[in-house]
Amino acid sequence: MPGSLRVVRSMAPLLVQDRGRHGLAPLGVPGSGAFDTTAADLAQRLVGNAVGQACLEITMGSAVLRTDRTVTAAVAGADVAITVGGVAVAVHEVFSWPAEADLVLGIPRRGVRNYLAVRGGLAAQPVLGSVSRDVLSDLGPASLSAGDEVALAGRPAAAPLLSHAPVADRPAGLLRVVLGPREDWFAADAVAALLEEAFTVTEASNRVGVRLSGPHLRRVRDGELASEPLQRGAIQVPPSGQPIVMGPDHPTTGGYPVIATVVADDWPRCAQLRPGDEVRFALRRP
Amino acid sequence: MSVPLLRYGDRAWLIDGVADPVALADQLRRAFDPDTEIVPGARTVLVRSRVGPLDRASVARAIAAAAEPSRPVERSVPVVTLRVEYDGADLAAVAEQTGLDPDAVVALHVGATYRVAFLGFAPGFGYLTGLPQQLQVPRRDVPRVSVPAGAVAIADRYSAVYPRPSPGGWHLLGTCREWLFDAARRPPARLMPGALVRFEVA
Repeated sequence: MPGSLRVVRSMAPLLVQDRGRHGLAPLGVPGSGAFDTTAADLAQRLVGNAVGQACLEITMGSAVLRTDRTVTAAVAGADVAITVGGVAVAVHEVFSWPAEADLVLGIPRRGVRNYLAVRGGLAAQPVLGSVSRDVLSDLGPASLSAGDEVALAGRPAAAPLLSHAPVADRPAGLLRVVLGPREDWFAADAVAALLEEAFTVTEASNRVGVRLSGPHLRRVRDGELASEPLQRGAIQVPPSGQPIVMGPDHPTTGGYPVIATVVADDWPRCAQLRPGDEVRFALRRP
Repeated sequence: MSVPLLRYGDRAWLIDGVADPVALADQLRRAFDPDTEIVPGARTVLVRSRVGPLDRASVARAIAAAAEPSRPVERSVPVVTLRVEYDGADLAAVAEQTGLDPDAVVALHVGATYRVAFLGFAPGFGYLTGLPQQLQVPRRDVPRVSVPAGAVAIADRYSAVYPRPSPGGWHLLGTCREWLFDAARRPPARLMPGALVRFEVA
């Protein structure tokens, strides 16, 4: 029996995440999946798992977990203090997690999300081909709180090759964008404001979208935009004039114009934007 | 066919001004492998790559090769019939707004044949065209924080059934107790793109 991992306590619910559900947007099903795919993939590689497997997405740390057998594990993502059985380990370091020892994450010093990967993977009930928790659509295994468990899969895994991965420290708050598809719905000064002014991440941000406050992005067209498909990273502007950057659980269509779209390489950075952080947008260099 | 092709980030393109997005999406799917996802909207079709940049020329070529039908093909299209209890919270208000009896509102709603123009907003939420002109009223000024699962609703030129509780700004005409989205079924959505739909009084 491969065993299980359980939550002793956590401030926010922990979410099982893999690569998400694909090809179902025409049925209104969001893609979902790990928000910071770079960190999730790194955690998996560190423990010798194939990328895209299930791991735990931990939001704002403050979690204590235990396993019922000794496993190899790694935590990637935000800069956070970690101890295992009282011994400090680093983010992006492979470690042995002894049975019944507490794995404790503090509050991240910077960033928001961490990914816990266990060698051999986690096992959960797939929904529409994925174990990702979609918080908007209420799809996927239930989120985990104190007392909840997730099974270890015990799949064959490669031996870890690295003990520690140095990760470049880039500020999360600069996002590269491509204008459109509906930049013509906005005043020229709105586009200028988007590219020149600073925005602030608000508390209302989550996996559905990162909500920003800042200069009011003024429209020049009245009336409604007929519902159109939304893309990940789309910067949607509701009547409030305050932009929202679409996250992994974003609805598949929307009726508010999208002024610009964050490039795919910068989607994982959106996962580490914390309320109060400053965000700026810049045109992607072709 | 010459339609506007709008850049949507660095991995997708949005085709605008599309008369029948579901029909065009079905045709475009033949031109691309499964790593390229095709998603219809109300008047648009999104073409996006899961793996990397998508070049404009390949999308333009696929559009040129597609022969978009001038009207939806209705032969051998499944018809879904949904039974509805017309007890909706907004039935009286819609009657007043349209100058019709509530019974006439119901008769008009059940008398039409609808088509699933596209899905969006939530899993299994189908936007149904074919709503009679007399029932085409704008959305509510103030949306509801929570609309019950199975609520049968209208707004603008669409009708729809809410698969599960959610916020909603459409006018509620009644309740449908049948399944609309079930992740355990294949396909999981009751109302599939392009399907025909009829309502009947339960």
